[in-house]
Amino acid sequence: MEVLPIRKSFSLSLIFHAFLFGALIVTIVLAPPNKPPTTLNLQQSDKIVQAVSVNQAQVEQEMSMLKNQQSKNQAAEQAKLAALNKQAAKAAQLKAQQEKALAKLKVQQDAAMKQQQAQLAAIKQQQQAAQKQLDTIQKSAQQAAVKQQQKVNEQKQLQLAAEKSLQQQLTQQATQLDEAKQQQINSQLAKYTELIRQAIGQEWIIPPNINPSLYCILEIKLAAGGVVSNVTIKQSSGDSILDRSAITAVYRASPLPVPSDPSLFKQMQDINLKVQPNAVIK
Amino acid sequence: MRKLVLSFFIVVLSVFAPSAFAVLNIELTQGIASAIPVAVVPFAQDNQLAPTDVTTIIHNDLANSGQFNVISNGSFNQYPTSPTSVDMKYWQTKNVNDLVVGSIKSLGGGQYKVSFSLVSLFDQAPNNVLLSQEFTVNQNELRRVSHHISDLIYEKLTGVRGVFSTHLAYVLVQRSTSQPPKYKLMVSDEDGYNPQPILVSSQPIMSPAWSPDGRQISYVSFESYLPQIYVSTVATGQRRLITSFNGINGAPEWSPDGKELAVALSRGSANPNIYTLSLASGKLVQITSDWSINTEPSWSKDGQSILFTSDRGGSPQIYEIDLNTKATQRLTFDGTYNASASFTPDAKSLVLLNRQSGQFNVALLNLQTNSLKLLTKGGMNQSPSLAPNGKMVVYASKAGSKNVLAMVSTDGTVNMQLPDQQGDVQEPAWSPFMN
Repeated sequence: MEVLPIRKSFSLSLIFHAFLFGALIVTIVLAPPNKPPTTLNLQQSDKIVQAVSVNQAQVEQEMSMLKNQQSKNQAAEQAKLAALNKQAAKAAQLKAQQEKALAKLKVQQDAAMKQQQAQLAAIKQQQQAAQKQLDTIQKSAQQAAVKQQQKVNEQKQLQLAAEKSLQQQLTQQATQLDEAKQQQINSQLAKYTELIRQAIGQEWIIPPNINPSLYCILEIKLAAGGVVSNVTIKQSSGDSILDRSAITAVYRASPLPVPSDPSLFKQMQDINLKVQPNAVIK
Repeated sequence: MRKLVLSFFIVVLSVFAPSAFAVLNIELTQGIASAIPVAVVPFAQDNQLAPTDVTTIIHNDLANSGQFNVISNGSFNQYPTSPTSVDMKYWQTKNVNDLVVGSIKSLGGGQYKVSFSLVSLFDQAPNNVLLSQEFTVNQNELRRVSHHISDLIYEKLTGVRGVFSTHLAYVLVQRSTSQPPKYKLMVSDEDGYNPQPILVSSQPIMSPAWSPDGRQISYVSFESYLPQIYVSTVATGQRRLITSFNGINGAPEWSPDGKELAVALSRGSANPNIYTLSLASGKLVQITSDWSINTEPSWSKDGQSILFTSDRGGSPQIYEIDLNTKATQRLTFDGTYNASASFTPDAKSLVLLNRQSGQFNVALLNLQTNSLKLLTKGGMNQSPSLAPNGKMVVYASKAGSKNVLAMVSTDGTVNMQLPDQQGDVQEPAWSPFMN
């Protein structure tokens, strides 16, 4: 309710300002051309107001012109409206036409839709068939894969077996080689055992009057080159003469004949020598 | 349970032992029969030189025993006097097994301290010092102590008792162109040194024999122009007549217990037979009784049988008669003459005098194999007598124009003459061990 007065005064002020603006325009337009340009400042405002109030006729002329213009505008408006009406009718007609077309289109669309759905169903069917086929293919592929895997496994096992047998063969060969080597070692051992026996026998002075059933066992340790490093009595004969004759013979025979091959020599480093007077060499 | 655990361990050990400790097993059964190489280093002496050469006596004892090869003094130039000063490496290069070192110290008043050690060069200290002893003796006992040291060394190294302190008895015949011959019953050291007469006679003395205790000697004396058997005590020279039968009174031999004599008596017959005679009661027992010559009786070690020489088979051969059963068997078959037999200490052999092709030699008869081995050469030998350890035989041997004392080892390896005596040596007899 309070808005109205504000709008009224706002319209009044608008009108007034419009008036003022119009007056100003008029003044500027009607000012004598030879007159020097006035400087627009506040001290000269009295003179401008005076000038407006002076030309009343001109305003009236202006007003009538305005009125004329307004009626002209009103006629144009009415013409325009008529045209619009004419246009509306035309539009309604168009609309009807369009609706008609639409309905027609809808029928067409429905038909298309139906067709599409049918197509879709067909596609779906195709898809399902394809899926089925795919499933089948996948299934058979899986089976094939399993089969393949089994085959791979079998092959793997076969390979393993082959490797194993090869390994066994290798091991067997190695064992045979070892046996051959051991045989060689044994023959070498036998040879050097005999050489050692002879070497010590050559130095062993059999004590006179010794009981031939007595024997002693010596533990002999050899250092590099067959040097006798230590001799101890492992089992005494009970006759110190026999024991000592044997010990002396071993030391006297040092260095004992030993193989140069270190691994072979290692097997001869520790000797148990059983000494029993049985026969005289010379 | 403990036993079980133990046996388990033994099983485990026996399984793993061979691989863990590779031990080479060797058996040695053949050696050499050889003299043991030894060195006798000259004993150190102070300024007061001992009158007896102890070192040389020991050296010769060992060398003459046949059991040792004693290297000469010239082959070394180190002279240790105690085990601690022995340079083992040096002596090992001298090819000797054992070393004798020692010293003689004058104590004044004719007394000496003799120290010696026997060092094995191939044994570990302290086991290498086999003997180490010292003796304080008068100067006239130096020779005896030297022989004693030899005995100790010999026994230590051979396991057999040494005979260096034993004695010899023998008959020495001294002939000269100007005087009638002298017959002496002599006793000397085993090496022929220190000869002492027990009896001197103008008539023959024969067949000396030692009592088992070594204190007395029996013998045959012709001092009354007929053979009689006497026994003399060595230490005092005291003697007593044992037999004076008609005919032959010969070849006395002591029984092992020293209570009887086995003798050869003819007792009026043409040929002698073997008898045993009790020294205490004079009881006489005839052992053999035939018409052949039966003489030279010798007792077995157990006193149960007697060896004797008889020509009952046509030539002199050795027989053995069992004293209980009188069973007699012939023991010798090699050669035309075997005599003067005695058993070795092990009773496995006889030492005897053998003649083949006119050669008289000392021989060893192995009773198990019946093989006869000649120990001497030359063929002019007599009267073998065995040392109490059975290792040596003393006998009389012709050397040039003289009969001398000679020795041979029963293995035949050592043969030597003893120092020259003033006359002809006959019928040596080796004493028993002197206790």
